[in-house]
Amino acid sequence: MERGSLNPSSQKYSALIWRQFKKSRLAVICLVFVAILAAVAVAAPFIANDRPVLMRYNGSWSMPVLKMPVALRGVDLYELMSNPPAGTWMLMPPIKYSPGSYDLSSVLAAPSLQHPFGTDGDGRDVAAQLVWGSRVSLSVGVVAVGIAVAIGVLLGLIAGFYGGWIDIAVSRFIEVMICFPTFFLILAVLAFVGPSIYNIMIVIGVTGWTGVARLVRGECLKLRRREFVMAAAASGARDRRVMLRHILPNSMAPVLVSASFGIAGAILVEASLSFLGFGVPPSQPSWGSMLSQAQQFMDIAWWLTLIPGSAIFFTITAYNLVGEALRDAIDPNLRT
Amino acid sequence: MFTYIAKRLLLMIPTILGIAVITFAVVHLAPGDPASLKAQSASEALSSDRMTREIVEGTRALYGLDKPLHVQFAVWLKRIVTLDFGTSYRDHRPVIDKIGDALPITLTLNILTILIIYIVSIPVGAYTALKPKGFVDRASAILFMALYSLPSFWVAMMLIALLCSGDYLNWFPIVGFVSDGASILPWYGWVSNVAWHLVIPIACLTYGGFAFLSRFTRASMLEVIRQDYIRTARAKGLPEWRVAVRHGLRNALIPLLTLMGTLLPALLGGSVIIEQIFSIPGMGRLGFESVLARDYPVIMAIATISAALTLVSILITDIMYAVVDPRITFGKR
Amino acid sequence: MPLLSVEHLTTHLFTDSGVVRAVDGVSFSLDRGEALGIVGESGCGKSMTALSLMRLVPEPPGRIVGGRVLFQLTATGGPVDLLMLSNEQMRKVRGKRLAMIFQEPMTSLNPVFTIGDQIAEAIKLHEGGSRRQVQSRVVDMLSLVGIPTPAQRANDYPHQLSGGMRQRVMIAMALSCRPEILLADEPTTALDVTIQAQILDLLRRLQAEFGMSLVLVTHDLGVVAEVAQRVIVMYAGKIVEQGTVDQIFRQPLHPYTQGLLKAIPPLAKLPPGTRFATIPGTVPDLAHLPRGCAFADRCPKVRENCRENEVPDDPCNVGRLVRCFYASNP
Repeated sequence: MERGSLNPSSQKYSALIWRQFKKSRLAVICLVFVAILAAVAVAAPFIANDRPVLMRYNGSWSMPVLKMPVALRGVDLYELMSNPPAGTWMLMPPIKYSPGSYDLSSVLAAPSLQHPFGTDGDGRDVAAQLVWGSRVSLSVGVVAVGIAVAIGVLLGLIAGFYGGWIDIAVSRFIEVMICFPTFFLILAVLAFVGPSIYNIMIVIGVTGWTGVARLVRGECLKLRRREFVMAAAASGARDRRVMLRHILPNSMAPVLVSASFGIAGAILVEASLSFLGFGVPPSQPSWGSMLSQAQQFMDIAWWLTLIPGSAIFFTITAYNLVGEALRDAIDPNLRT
Repeated sequence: MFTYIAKRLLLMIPTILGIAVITFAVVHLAPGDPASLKAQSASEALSSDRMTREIVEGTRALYGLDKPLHVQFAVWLKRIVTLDFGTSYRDHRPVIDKIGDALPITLTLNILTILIIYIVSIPVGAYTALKPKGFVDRASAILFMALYSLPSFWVAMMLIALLCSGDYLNWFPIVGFVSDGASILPWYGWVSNVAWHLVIPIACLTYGGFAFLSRFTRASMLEVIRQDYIRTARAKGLPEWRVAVRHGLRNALIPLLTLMGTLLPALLGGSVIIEQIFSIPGMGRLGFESVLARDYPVIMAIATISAALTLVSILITDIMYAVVDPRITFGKR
Repeated sequence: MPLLSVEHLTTHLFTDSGVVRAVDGVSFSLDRGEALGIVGESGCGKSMTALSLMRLVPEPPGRIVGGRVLFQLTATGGPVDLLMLSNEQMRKVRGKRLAMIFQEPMTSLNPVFTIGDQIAEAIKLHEGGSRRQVQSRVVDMLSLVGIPTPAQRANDYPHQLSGGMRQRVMIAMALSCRPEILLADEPTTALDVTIQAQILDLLRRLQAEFGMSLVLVTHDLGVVAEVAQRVIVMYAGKIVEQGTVDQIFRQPLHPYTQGLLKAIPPLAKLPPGTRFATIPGTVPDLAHLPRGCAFADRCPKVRENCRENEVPDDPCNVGRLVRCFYASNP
């Protein structure tokens, strides 16, 4: 039975995919990992910070993580922490360092209880940088793919829907885009517009939409053909609204697969750009730039290379495996 | 055959135009007057009035920026067709000469990479299709997926530390395409010297490709062995391996051919970072250095030539496709 | 001594929704030079029976789970159970002693090899010989099945031939090693009506010429009447009626056979508005067969005990297999 014959917008279809997806335990683990990672990225200031999450000072409560209370302005927080006056109470985040806080007394410290992932050449806590770096990786991944999906769906729909010369033009455009070595194109564009996290997101998105566009276009054509036969049989006019209502949900699942792989790819591109020194500014910690800085200490500080590299690896693996499991779940050939 | 190729060549013209439009658009991406803006950013890097002025004028002349847009485009198109990309800002060598030096190195790297990916992936993919859900299928899926997810620059860093730096082992050279002075070696010595230099870079470029290609082969093969003609071959009494290889794999490989052309841009992009890490003087490194130095003529030339190269490789695979698949007849399509 | 005797052949398909009893204890025999028709609606297990004889059941999900297929492989020795042969031994039987042609001539030939190559492959495999000898056998076979200018046609690719021509090529390939039995699975279903008659004619002629036995699997009773001497009617994996062509067409005793015969559109002109007779209902889900007779739900003669008891081969003692408690003339 063809996938399209099941009404894809129905509850049953998504339930079917979900049931199929759940069969792979590894994929479910990866999905959980992705969710945790997203939570870490969102909650980074509460996880790794040199300010207390919650504190009571001079009889009033405050959350210095979000906003330094007026009462504390000009107070040496470090002094306060090591020597708290009576009536002061504070709850520190699990990692008591912010990614930018230098601790020159412990430069290149190996992993220990105090610094679970060690410190880098400037005495910055690796764990804190890792937590904050996840923000860059994930936001670039998600936003870039969001842009790519938006462009791809739009162009794919237009091409598949109107056909004719519009389709030819869009298809040619796709053909031209895939001729360029994407990574170099991204570098080249960034050379002109200057690297910033927003530019990186936009450039990755603008160069990465071709797969989605082809997918949606194909789905569109397939459906139009079928709808055409149906319409001819019922001798009714083709209703574009009905078609759209069918096309979008129908291509949702494959687009989601593509997006999952796309996020993995975008994270890798961002890390590569940062590694080459073409990523986000150094004030923002990112996994790629951590690796870039780790290069000079490879022989003495293994953790500097191993930890951010593993973070990139596991994140990319998780997204890829989720994508693969999803692809298998929607493949009607595997379903018997 | 001839008419087929001619037709395909004609069909390439709009694509080349498209490539020209995109590269042209990239030049004009910077807001305001591109020439002065570029000069501004360049002046930060070079901090020399004379050179700034030179760049402004050079950029103006190169892109004809003082002329109306359509004239500019015509000028740019003419440059592409005549392969005249001006001279590099950095060393004033003609851009096309610099690319002429770098291109063979990158092509060597990438063609070897594609070959190795195919040689490893096709047998694995075919085998896993014949024994789906078996040990090899599961193991290779996980292994290749893990390899696919390993950032190549990270692996390169670690391999250098482990195998090249001398801290642990000193099996391979860290940098370069060939040793200095290797030109005095006899040809086989030169080749083995190059090979010795390329082992680690090529390893870094290849491992990520296994996942995609082996899965693609597997899917293609699974599709083929469901076909009726496979049943016919079995009904003839052919041995199973002969059914699999002669009737199965032969058909399954046809769609793999088309991929060869599209693999190239991904690899060219990927070799930017690997060539940079290993200091291999190919297109990727040239491109990256030009990006760092804002050497626009070189950047534009590399983007254009890489795209054109991909176009050519797609054309070649299309022709191969037609040769391999008798259902495609030349001339009439 | 029959050339082939099939005893309680049972083939199951193990699917997610349960075990499908595609072939459920089928027994029949086939004499040398005889033509046997197996008829039934699609999904009744007739094609699966033929594939089981070849041991080409797609696996997974299918597997032959029981029975014997006794083939008189040598003139003097006893019959050999094909199901007990090693894969290697079975391979040598396939194409050489027992050949098969399929329903879809369009997709049954490999698109990337010439038809000459594909026929030569079977000859080389089973009989060997020099290139030249094999090549001339190929041309002989092609001309035998009525392909004009066979020497040139041998270099054609399948897509260059029409459907009828391709089915002729399939026949040439199957007969190239002079098998004793040819299994033809819906050989004419995918073809135009005019071509159908030609192919049936060819099959009949070649059967006589080669002195081989033919098992013709089809849903088309007209095809069976034209070619076969004996007929097996299958329903839901079981044989429901067996007899000579005369018996089946003139004296059908099973209600299902009677229904099938009624469903053949008569050749006479029909007044407008006439409805074709059809068998009401649909084939039951083979994974969840009811107790008793599988045809009960669609049967006009159904009574209480049909739904309760397994029906034996010939409960009414009519002298041939009619699997019905109430076998009678219509």
